[in-house]
Amino acid sequence: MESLKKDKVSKLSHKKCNPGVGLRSTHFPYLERSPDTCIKWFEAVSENYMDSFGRPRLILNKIRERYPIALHGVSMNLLSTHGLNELYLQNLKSLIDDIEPFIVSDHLCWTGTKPSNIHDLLPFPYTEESLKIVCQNIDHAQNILGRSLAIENVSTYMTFKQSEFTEWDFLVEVSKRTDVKLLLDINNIYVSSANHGFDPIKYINAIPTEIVCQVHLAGYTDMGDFLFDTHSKPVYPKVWELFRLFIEKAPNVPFMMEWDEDIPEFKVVENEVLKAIDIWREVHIQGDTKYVQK
Amino acid sequence: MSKNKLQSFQNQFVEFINQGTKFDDLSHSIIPAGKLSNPFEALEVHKKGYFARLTEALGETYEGTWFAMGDDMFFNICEEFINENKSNKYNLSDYGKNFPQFLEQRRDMIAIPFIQDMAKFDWMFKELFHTKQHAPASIDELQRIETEPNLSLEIEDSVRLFSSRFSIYKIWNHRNDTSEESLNINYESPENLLLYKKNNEIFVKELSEIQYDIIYSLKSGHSISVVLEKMGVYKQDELVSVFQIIGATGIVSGLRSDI
Repeated sequence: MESLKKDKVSKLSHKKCNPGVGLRSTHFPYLERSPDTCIKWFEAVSENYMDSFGRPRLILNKIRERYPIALHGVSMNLLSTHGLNELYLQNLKSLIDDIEPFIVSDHLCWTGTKPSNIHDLLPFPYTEESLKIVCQNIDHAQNILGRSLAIENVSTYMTFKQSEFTEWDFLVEVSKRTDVKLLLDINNIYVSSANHGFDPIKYINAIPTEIVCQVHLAGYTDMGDFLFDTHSKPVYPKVWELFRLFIEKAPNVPFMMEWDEDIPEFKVVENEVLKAIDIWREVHIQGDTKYVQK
Repeated sequence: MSKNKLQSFQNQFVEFINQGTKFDDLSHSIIPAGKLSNPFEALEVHKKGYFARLTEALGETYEGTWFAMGDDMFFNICEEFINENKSNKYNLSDYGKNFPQFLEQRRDMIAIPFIQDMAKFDWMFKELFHTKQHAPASIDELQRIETEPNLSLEIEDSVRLFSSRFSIYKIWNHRNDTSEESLNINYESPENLLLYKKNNEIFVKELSEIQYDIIYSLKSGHSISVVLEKMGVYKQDELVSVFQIIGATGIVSGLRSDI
């Protein structure tokens, strides 16, 4: 019994609960007061800082003094058929050199065609040709930035008849070919599964945990005809269930809460993170404690 | 799907968003989400999102213009602007630089004679917000001005000048005000403004016309002796007041000798 207990404690010591939150300018005044918080790191949207040398950048630098930062982009345009925007990559690299983030991520999507930018995370058919294009672009970005990237699965409102892969197989294949890590957005998995009628558990089980470096949580909006990824609500119960399923297999993966529309005060966002921490503890600590007590 | 086919798919998708063009190839390939009844309803999700995001970006930049126009007029004009001006920057907050010129071309804007100047002020303020604050020159360094009139002052991009025959800043200051009083602002007195950063905040100082001209001239790179000559002896008091402003605001980052 004693050796079993030691074994459990030893296993526990390798588990690390690593909660974060999306840094938003509405929370700057609160965060400048250096409040006590359960948050261990912040995720900043790269484009909000890479061309700004005023107050936003100053606050980011101040927060960086106290916390690790992940940089999360929305404009790399990884499915671009014209290659990537070199100015964008240069400016992102400067920000990376300044902030020294522990993760740099963007989305598995396209955002426009030269010269038009749609400023959206746009869907595409999962084909061998799309796979080649995205892998070329990821290789190029990783070479220019001199580091590995993480790519995030997006919520979609359409699929395509010509797709040759499921979304999860496509993601895994991209990772295999480029060594890119995955930023797994659990809310996006749920939204897309409801929109397209696939099993979200099958999706999560198909993703090898060792290629996932970060998890996103957020709330969607039910539009009646479909679910819309708005980041404007607390996390829904079904999404918490999927989070529990994933975090059980991957205790050390950093997870974070995004809130981008109708942003409430920081404490409300933090409260969602506390719910995630509770789930993490239920899965990884209370379960172990009960076992040891037996 | 070849690269060309992916490219063609993306071009058709973007053309639907920008022009509303419906391509058979595109619609036949789409399976819409949930209970959306056809491919175009699925595409509309992205089209609506595009207009919403660009309108929001314009609203964030052009706060004073929005306040002066009111919601209905502002949103209608945004829609027309977005239809005519596609976004080609990766950074959403860079969208709408030519919005003041767009307003200038519109005859219906005669009803708000100061609207173009307000939009120019909004854009200037947004640019300044994202500009790095320079380190001000020390008082010791500035004192060289007294003995070396051939020096020029270095006044960087984090210092801006704005002039209008309308009371733009006075109106702009009410942009978040919903009271009755905010609807009755007298906008007909001219303004000359100095915008600068201190402690990483933006400050706006009203200048006299002569103070404005002196700082404008100094910012353009003219040496102190040239500015003194231009202004003439009878404006010495104004010149002294400008140097007091320079000392108090820290708008000079250094001195430069062109000799």
